[in-house]
Amino acid sequence: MSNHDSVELELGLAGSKGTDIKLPDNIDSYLSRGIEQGKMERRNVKTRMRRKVLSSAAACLILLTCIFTIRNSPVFASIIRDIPGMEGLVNLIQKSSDKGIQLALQNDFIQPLGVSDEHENVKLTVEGIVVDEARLVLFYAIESLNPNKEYNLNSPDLTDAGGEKLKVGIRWGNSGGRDESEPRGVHRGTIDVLLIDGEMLPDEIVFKAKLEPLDENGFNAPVDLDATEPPQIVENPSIIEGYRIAIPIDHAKFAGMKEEYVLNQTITVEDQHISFVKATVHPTRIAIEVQSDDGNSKQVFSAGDIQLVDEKGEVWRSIGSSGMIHDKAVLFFESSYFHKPKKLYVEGSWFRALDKDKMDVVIDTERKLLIQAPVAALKLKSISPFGKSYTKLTLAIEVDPEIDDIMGYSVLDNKFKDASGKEYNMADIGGGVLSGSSGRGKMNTQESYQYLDYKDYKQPLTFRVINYPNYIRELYKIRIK
Amino acid sequence: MTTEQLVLAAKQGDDKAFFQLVSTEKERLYRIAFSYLRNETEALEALQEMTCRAYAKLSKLKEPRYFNTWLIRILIHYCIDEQKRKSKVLSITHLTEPLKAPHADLDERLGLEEAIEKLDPRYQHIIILKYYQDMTLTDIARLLEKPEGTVKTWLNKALTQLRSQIDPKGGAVFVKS
Repeated sequence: MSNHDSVELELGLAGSKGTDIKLPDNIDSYLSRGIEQGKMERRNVKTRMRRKVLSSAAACLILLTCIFTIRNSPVFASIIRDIPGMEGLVNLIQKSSDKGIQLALQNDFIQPLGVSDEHENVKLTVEGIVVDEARLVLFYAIESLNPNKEYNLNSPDLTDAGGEKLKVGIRWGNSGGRDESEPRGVHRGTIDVLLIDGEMLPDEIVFKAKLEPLDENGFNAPVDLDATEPPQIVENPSIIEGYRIAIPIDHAKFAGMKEEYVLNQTITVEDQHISFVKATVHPTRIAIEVQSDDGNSKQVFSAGDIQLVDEKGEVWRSIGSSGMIHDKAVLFFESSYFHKPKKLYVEGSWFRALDKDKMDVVIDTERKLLIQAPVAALKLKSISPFGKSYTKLTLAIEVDPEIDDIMGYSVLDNKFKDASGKEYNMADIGGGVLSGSSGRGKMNTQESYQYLDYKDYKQPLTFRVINYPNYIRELYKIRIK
Repeated sequence: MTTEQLVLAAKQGDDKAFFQLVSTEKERLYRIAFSYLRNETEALEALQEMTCRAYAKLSKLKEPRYFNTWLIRILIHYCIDEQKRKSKVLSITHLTEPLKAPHADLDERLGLEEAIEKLDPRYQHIIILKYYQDMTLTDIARLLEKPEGTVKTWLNKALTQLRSQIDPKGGAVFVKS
C-alpha cells in the first residue's frame, strides 16, 4: 500500500474521532455575545467613516486649538512629571484641549494607574483616569517594541467586571499620522466617556481594545467622496486583539461634587421661544438642558456659538451635545468647577432653525428631479448608481463662507418615505455610510451624501431635514450662578 | 422559513432571524472550529468572533442561499489567523522559557495534528474539511472559491507534505496493512 494511503487512513481515523467531540451546551450564549459585538462593530464602522469624511475640514480647526492650548501650566506639569511613568501623560495633557480636564489635573483630580496588557510585543497602558459621576477621561499609551511599527487603537469598549457592556457614550479618535512629539513606537491618546444622567460606573470597569498598525505612510486611506462603489472593508490581518485592562473606580474621590442650578429661563429669538431648564456642574463637565417651545413656528435644531463665561470674562467652550433642541437637548461644556468662578453665565447669539412647514425635501430619484426643497440654496447635485445595489444622492447647499458654519452634520434624517407613505431607512452600507457633508470644492458650496438601497420606490421620495445651516439670531446671556 | 428568507429578514434588522441562522448550524460550526483549534474555549471564542464578523458584514453578503458557506468561510479564516497568532506567541515563550519535555505524555495523534497545523493554510483547510468534516471536494471548492481542479491538486500536495512531515523515512508511524 502506498504511503499516501496510510496517511489517508490515519486521517480518516482521526476525522471520525472528531465526531465524538462533546458539544458544550452554552454555545448559544457565545452566539448572542457575537451579535452584540457585531452591533458595536457596525456602529464603529459608521462613525469611523463619518469621522474620516470630516477630517480634512476638521484638521485645520484641531490644529488651531492645539496651538492655543499647549503649555497651559508649567508648574503642575513639573509636579506630575516627578511621578515615575507619568512624563508622557503630562505631554498628553498639555495637548488636551479641554480646559476643564486640564484644571481637574492641576487640582490633583487624576487617578494615576499605569496598568497594562501586552500582546505580541505591543503594550497598551492606561496611564491614568479623570473621572466623576458624569464623565470619564482615560489616558492611554501604546508602546511597540518595534519602533518602526506603530499602532492605533481600534474598537475600544468598556464593560463591567462581569463583561456587561456599560451604558455610556464613548468618544475616541485616531489622529491618522504619527505624533512627532512622542518617541518612535509610542502613541498616546484619550478615550472620552460621557455618562447618561442617572447611570453610575461600577467599582471596577474593564477596558477592552484591539490595536491596529498604522500603515507605512502613517495615514488611513482617505475616503473617496466621488466613489461609485461601496468601499471594500479589508480586514487588516495584523490587528492584535484581546487587550483587556481592569480599572478601579474610586467613587469616594468624587462623591458629592455635583452642583445643580435650576434656571427655568426662556429667551425669544426671532419669535421662537427657547428655554434653559437647568445646569449641572461636575468637575469634568457642565451640562445644560435646553428645549424649544412646541408652539414655535420654526424647528430649532442646535445652538451655534453657545459658551459659558464667568465674571472675569473667562470662556468655557461647548464640547458637544446630545439630542436636538426641539426634543430637549443636553449641551455639554468644559467645566469651571475647579476655577470656582463667583458668577457664571451661558451666552451666545444664534441657533440653527428652519420653518416647520419647510422641513421636507421631495426628490424623484428616478427622474433625478428635486421637487421641493426647504430653501432655494439647497440643490440636487447628482443621483448616481453606487455599486450594484445602492443609489447615491448628492445634495449641494450654497452657503456664505463669511457667515455660515462648516457643516459637520448630516442634513437629512436617516428615515424617508415613498409616495405611498411607506417608510424606509437609508442604506446601511457594509463599508460605512458616508452620510455627512464636506466643505470641499467651491468655497460657497457644501455637499451632503446619502445612500439609498436600490429599489423600485413609488416616486417621489420625501426626506426630512434634521439639521440645516439656516439661522435665527439674537444676543442672549443667562446667569447660571 | 428558508435560509434565504431568514437572511433577508436578518438583513432588514431582524436579530432573531440572524440568531436562528447561526444557531441551526452551531454543531457543525463548533466541530469545524474545534478541528482547527483543538480546544473548547478557543472554539467557542471562534464562534463568537465569527458571529460578530458575520453580523457586522451581513449587508455585504450578496447571495443569501450561500449564507452557510459564507459563515464557514469567515470561521476558517478566523481559525487560521488565530493559529498564526498563537504560534507567534508560542515562539516568544520559547525564547524566554524553553518548554520542559514538550508533548511527552501525549498520544501519537498529536503528531498528525501538529503536522496539519504546520501545513500552508490552503492545504490545512482541505485536510480538515475533507477528513474532519466529511465535505466533498466540490463543497470545499465552493467554500474556498477555487476551481475543483485546484482543490484536487492542493489535496495531493497536502497529503505528500503530511507524509514527509510525519514520517520522513516512510517509517513506522502508521499501521501498514
